[in-house]
Amino acid sequence: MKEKRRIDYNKYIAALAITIIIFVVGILIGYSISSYKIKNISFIENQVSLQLMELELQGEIFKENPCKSSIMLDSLSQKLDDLGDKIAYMESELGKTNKRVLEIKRPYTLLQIRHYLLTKKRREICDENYSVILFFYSNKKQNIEECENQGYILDFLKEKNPGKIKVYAIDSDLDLEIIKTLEENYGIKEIPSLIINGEKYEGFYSLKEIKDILKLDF
Amino acid sequence: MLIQNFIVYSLSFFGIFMSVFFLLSLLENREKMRNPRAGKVYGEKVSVIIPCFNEERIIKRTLNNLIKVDYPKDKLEIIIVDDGSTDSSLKKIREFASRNNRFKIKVLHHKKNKGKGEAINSGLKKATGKFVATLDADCIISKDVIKKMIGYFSNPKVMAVTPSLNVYKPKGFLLRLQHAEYVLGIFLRKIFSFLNAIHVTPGAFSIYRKKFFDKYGGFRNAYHTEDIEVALRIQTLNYKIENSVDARVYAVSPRKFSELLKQRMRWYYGFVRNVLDYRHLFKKDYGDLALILLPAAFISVILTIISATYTLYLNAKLIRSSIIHLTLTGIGSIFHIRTSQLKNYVFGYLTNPLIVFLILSIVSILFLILMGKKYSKDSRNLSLGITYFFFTYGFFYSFWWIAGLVYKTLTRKKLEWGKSK
Repeated sequence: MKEKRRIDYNKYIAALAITIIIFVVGILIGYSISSYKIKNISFIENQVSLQLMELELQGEIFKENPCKSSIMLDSLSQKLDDLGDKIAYMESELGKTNKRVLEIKRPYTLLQIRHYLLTKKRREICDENYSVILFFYSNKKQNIEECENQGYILDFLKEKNPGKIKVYAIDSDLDLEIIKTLEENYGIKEIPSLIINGEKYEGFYSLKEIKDILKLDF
Repeated sequence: MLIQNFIVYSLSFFGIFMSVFFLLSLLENREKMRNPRAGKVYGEKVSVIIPCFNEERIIKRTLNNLIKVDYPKDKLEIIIVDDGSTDSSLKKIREFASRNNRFKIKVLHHKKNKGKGEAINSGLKKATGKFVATLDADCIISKDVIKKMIGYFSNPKVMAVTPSLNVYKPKGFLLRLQHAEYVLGIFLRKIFSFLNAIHVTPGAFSIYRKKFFDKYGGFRNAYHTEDIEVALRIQTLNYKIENSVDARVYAVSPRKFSELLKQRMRWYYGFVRNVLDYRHLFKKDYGDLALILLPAAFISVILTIISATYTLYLNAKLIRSSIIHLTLTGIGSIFHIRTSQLKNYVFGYLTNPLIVFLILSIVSILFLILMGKKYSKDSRNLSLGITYFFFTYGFFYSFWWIAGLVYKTLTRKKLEWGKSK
């Protein structure tokens, strides 16, 4: 009964060939997905530039009639949030130190600061009942965890009180003069820091502490 | 990122290759998926040996089910070996024998427990059939198993035939998980039979040609996995082991994690030790078994362990940050995730190029499982089992293997076969 078993080498070769074909097709599909994502990111970049120009115009109209322009400011608020999410997505895809990410963050930050100033002014002039928070953060190793946590708390507050809390998160590592100006203006020496309705709060603040500051009762 | 890519690519390449190879084997042998007609072999005497150790709760059910099998009564010999049970198993066996004396029943008794292998050997000495089947004391066989399996013995080179082994009444997480696993195994076993590469004749129920034991000796005590040893012995002597994909046998599988762990540690440790003993199989003379299947088995274990560990590592970071977030904002924050954030997260995940390979791997394994379900004609619902399988099997498998090799090598403990099969 000692019979030599035959190995069908052809079958192995066929299986290997088919596997390689499937594998190559898979890699090609993966590659086209990657390029689709890159196109998506370019689209975001265009949107940000457009929004910046729009906001310039809005600023002019606002000077004429500050308390009547709420609709425009609110819809721009929405767009800012959307852009913020897209940038966060870009950060997760390309990394927080990626050149393209930083390039988009600069006009986006200008957009934010502009919107912040308008919103703050409107709050003072038109006696609105929302709170405005300016949040300085950094992605440097020694700050990043605290800042991420602080950001998470602020996001939650914003979601829980739609329309009543406006948060503007500024990356203090960006190479923008306006950021340094703002820091000087408010006397910011520590990261993270919050400017809540014009008042400075340096360091990390827990959910409860911020709720107390804003006198929220939920 | 690089490690992740390498793991996904190698795992999926291997998985796709094996699936394509199995698919080709299936296509090549599609007429042989059906059982051969019983023909001349039908009607030969079959001795069924049931080793029993402390199975008082279940032995009667097994025996009552056995006598329902569709085979001429006068050609069926039932030999029950009580291997030194300390409960009322012997009493129940004798009751059964006296109540069913229209069948040829022999009851053997060991005063002391000698182990499953020896129990079967005692049965072999008293067996008078041309074919011998071993049946576990807790297994349920379908009525038509002998009819479906015996036809393979028309080929004189066939020394053993294995059944379509499935899980009995799969309810709850662990049993359903095993259900999916066993159904996958059913299909793989049939494919292995085409390649003559079956490496275990399940102790739950397998039929052997008695001549083999007469010539080469009975079961040996082999690391509590005698069924692996016999199969490897048959392979080494260049005989054939066949499989019937729809001869349904239902094994009572462990429901508790600790029992399942013990069972798997015993299986995998036994597998490695037996393969080491039969090292000489790894020469080209032994065909597909040596060249591809045994190495593939080891490669798949290693790859599974690596990917399970890496997945845990990735998820650990995610779990850790989720926990931190929850402590900062309270449990209620779960309900306030922005839909746009969620959309971006899912989008990022789905458009990762690696996802293509993950999907390919899942599809190929799903295909194998569904083929198993189809050919074994298992009509029970498998969707939950398949879900549990895809999410968790890799982790369990890795854990059982590591635990089995580490624990057994370090402690060299002997596991009793009666209490935890």
